Amino acid sequence: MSSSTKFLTLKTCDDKKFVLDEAIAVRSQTIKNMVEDDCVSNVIPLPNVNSKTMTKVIEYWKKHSEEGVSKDVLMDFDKAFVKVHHSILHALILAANFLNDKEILDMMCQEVADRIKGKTPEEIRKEFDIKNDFTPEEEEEIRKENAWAFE
Amino acid sequence: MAVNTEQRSIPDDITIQIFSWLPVTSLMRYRCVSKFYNTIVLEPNFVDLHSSNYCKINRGDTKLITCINGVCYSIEKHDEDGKATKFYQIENFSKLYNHINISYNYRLYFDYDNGLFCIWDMQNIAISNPSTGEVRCLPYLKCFDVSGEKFICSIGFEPEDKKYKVVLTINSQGGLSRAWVFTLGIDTSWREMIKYNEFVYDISPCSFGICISGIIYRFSQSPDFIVVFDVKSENFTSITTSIEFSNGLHESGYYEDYMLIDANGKLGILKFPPFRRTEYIHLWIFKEEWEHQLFQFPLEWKHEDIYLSTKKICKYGGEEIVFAINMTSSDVFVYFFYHVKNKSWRYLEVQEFPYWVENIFTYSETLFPLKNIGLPTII
Repeated sequence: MSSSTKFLTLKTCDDKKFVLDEAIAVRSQTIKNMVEDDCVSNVIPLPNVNSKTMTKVIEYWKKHSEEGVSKDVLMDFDKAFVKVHHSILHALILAANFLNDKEILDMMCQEVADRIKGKTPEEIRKEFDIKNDFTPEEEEEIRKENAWAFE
Repeated sequence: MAVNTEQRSIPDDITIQIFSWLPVTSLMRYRCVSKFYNTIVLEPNFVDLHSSNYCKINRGDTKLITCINGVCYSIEKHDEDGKATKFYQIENFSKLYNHINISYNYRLYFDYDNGLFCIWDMQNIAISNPSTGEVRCLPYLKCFDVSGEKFICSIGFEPEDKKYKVVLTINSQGGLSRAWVFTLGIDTSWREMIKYNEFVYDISPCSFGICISGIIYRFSQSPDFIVVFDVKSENFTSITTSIEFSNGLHESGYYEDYMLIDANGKLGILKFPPFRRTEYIHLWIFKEEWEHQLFQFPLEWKHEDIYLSTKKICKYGGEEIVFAINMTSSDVFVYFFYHVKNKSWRYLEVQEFPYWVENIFTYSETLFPLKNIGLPTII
């Protein structure tokens, strides 16, 4: 009779399985599309997400799906949620991107932006693995134009 | 660790997402990272993304700035509880003086909306984006020069199409007002609007306007109504003022103590006491009908004398109306913030600021590029 709660099984790249209420899992647009297109068999494979990252994502989804949670509590939760090691932050961004969860992605991008906003161009190149394709002269020119931004 | 997402680098489209949450200063500094990041800050799509990400969440955190004799100071909170402040000069803003040929016989006028300033004297009209450091001059037409009558500009941002427009009006004695419009980034010359008969209503205002959600409001020369310019449709209309307000003005005929302000996203008319802090401040807020509010400076504040003018009141305070008041005896000035909804006050004291404060703005950053606007600046 009560078939209202459906469960999905998600399988991460390191072969861990997570059983999750469908209503929560569809916070991921990627999973939602799969459910809507009816191409969900027993297990949904998530080849780009490891179990450690998925645990974090599910923690977020569950908190944000709880009923009767005040805005302040959620804000405190979010604040604590983003205070993670650099590598986890990157992994979460890639996972949120794959799962197509704009809420988590935006929050994580904001956190990264907040951490890098004071860095030098050299540090940014290293951080994002960007190749400098300017000649030294060209770079100097642009630095001069924006000298005020380096103070 | 064989399977490791941590080793993968962030793809470009996510890096762009991350960058859209950065302050403008950081983006300008990262222009020399690579050719791609040099040009992306000018791409319309990125400018839009940045304005809906970084700019949106930081709107509540706008900076207070004051422009004094062409030098612009940013005033920022210094300590945790936000009581102490520091100030510093915004260098790019002063660049304006290298660009426009200011004659000191003329006064400089400012208007501001959504990150961009429109600055003009009797011979120049310039647009400045202090967060990117760009300054451009709009064309100056001979017909703006009507026998000493000054023209007035208003800059307005239209949030739906994300366009900035400048509207310029002059009031010729003969009975007709004239108006021109210039869309930033699109127009190469001013477009003249149809002429308006003074006896219907006058589009030349007695003081400057204000832009709220894509609508520019200005006082008209009659106290009975306010002139309304819709930035998107470019139509002039008007709204009737409250009877108390127009009666008061009909009696005194004196506009100097009145100004239009943004009262929590709604149009407001403020009447302030120029000299004595104990007098009441009137506020009319337009919410289909006019609502009247009376308030006073905090009574526990000892100083009797204030010198208020429209230049010392910030018209874009959002939830709060900001008053800047110099202490006559020292290098201190105080920002008073009146919260329109809660009817409460807070203040910020700025120490060792040796200037007479004027032209107060709250300011939020925008990437909006001025590259294709108007004329290359003259140096």
